[in-house]
Amino acid sequence: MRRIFAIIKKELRRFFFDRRMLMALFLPGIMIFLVYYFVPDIYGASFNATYDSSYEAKIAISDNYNLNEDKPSLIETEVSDNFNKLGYEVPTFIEFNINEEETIIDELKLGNFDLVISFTDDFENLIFDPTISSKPNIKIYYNSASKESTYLYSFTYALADSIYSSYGINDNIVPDVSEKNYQALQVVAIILPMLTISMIFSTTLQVCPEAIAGEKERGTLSALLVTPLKRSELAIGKIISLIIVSLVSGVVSSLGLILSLPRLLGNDSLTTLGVEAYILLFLAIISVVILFVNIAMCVSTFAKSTKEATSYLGPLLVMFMIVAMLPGILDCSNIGFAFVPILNISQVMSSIIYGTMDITYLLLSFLTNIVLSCAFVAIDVKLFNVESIVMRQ
Amino acid sequence: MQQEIKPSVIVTHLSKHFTLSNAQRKKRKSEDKILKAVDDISFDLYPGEIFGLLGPNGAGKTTTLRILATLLKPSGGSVEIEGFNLNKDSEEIRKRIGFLTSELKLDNFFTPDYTFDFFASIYGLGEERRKNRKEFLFQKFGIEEYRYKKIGELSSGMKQKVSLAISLLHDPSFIIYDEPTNGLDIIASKAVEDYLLELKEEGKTIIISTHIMSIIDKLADRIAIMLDGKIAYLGDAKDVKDEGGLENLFFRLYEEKEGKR
Repeated sequence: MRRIFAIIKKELRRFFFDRRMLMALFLPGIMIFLVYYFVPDIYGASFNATYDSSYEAKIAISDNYNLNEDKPSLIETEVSDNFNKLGYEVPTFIEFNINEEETIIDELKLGNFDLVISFTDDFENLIFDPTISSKPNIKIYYNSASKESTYLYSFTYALADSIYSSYGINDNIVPDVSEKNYQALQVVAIILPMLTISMIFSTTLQVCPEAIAGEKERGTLSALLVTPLKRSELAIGKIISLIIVSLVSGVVSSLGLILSLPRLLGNDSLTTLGVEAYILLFLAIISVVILFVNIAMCVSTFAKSTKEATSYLGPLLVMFMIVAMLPGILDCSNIGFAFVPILNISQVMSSIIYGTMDITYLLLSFLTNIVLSCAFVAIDVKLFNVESIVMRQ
Repeated sequence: MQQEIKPSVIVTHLSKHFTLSNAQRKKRKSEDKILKAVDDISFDLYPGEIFGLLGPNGAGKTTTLRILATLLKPSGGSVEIEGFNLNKDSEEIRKRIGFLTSELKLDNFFTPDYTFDFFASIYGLGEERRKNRKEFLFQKFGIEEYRYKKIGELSSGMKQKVSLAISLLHDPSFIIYDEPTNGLDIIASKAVEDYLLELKEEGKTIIISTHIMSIIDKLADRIAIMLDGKIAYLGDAKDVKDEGGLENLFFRLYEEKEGKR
């Protein structure tokens, strides 16, 4: 154990005190953040775009906001006044019966409306009544595929928040439902797993060949092999340290992902997915990091030089990227796919984005990757004991 | 006198064969699929003696030393080091050997000080012993001034000195050196030679392989000359003088093998 610990300490020192290695560890996380943060702009319309002042917006508003009086709702008045002040074309408000809400939302998806505001019955009377116990609610639906709809949503959300929150019942009146655009989600669901998996694998591609094949190449591995250190201790020490190093990189990548996801999904709030989803995403990333390290370790132990190891791992990266794209294109939600490495984690990521995460699927995927990782550890220890492999130079 | 002492290393009919790939056969211009790097050699080493191994490139010297250092497994024969069988007790043997070869390098990224501490922890040296050995060896090989510089920034001679210090940190009883004065200047070489004589006086078993005949002439008690994986000569250093000196003996054997005589 002492000797394994010595190897771990040495390896961690090697990686965390080397500027070049630090770059390799942290760059993927930074890249994930930057790429995902700016991808929405590449896709253009869907996210955070500017609003055309001459645009004639149509907002559907449910007619049940005030059951006693026939007057425009507060939100309608505020939106109109503010658009007027800004010099924008004032949106047209079209009232609908709350029973037709689903049909109206379909119209929103088709682009016939830019925003749908629906209230619980007598919303505007009840909200100002401090004696009622059951709080009324407002929902604002928008289409994230349309820049006008996204802008109107942000604008209306802010106004509703400022008007109604002053009555101390803010928690229940802020919009709690937004209709995401399926096409935009699909793009994210394809890109996100593929980029994340390729960036994590890129990190292992940097550190693993360096740690094993690099040592063989430099002749420093032999110096360890003539010490009382068992080859299994050497292999395990290396694996543990590389998992730690890759996990650090994985955490940075996860952070990059967590910080950029809300924007990628068309909402600047971190609560877009919920804390549980982020934890699951993190778990998925951990299992994939452990698997990648063990695959790369076996390849690096077999190779006689960093170059040779990288040449084996390069095509693997391409293969993993292709597999990671599949859940975005095909339906891989069948539980059987949880036993297919890489694809399973990619599917988990996609389902988290779609909000259809199945915890059994995630656990099976996680277990599959860990069991497979253990198998690779066993293979690697065996390889370390094969003279013709460990002494290849 | 020597015969009364029990050998610390017993090498019996040792062989090492490598299977050659097509590319390797082509490069060697040979049809043989098997390369007999070491071919049925036997010798004993005694505590308190320096054994010199001499031979041209490819004679099997380094392979022999690598087998003794447990880096390679023998294809045949047996090796016993201080009562431990090489195949069965390699971990015990590795605790007792100090090995140095030009192919064995230290990580350029670390300092000699850190590298020493790292290897000391692998050998399980306690704090006090580690400190004492480090001070002693760093002083012995003139490393103190460079102890906090990265190994990659050191001259090749200084790197060799650090490697020597590391190989001796656990005070091994069996020292296996392949070209120990490689890259060292004349002063440093002398210091290494003197220290090897000191170690011999302490009763260590030492085997050295080198191309520099003067080192063997000066240090070795017994000499083996290897040609084509076999031992072509094995005898006492004083007997070599009767054969007309080491250089004459070596070239005579070499030319006989090449069929020039």
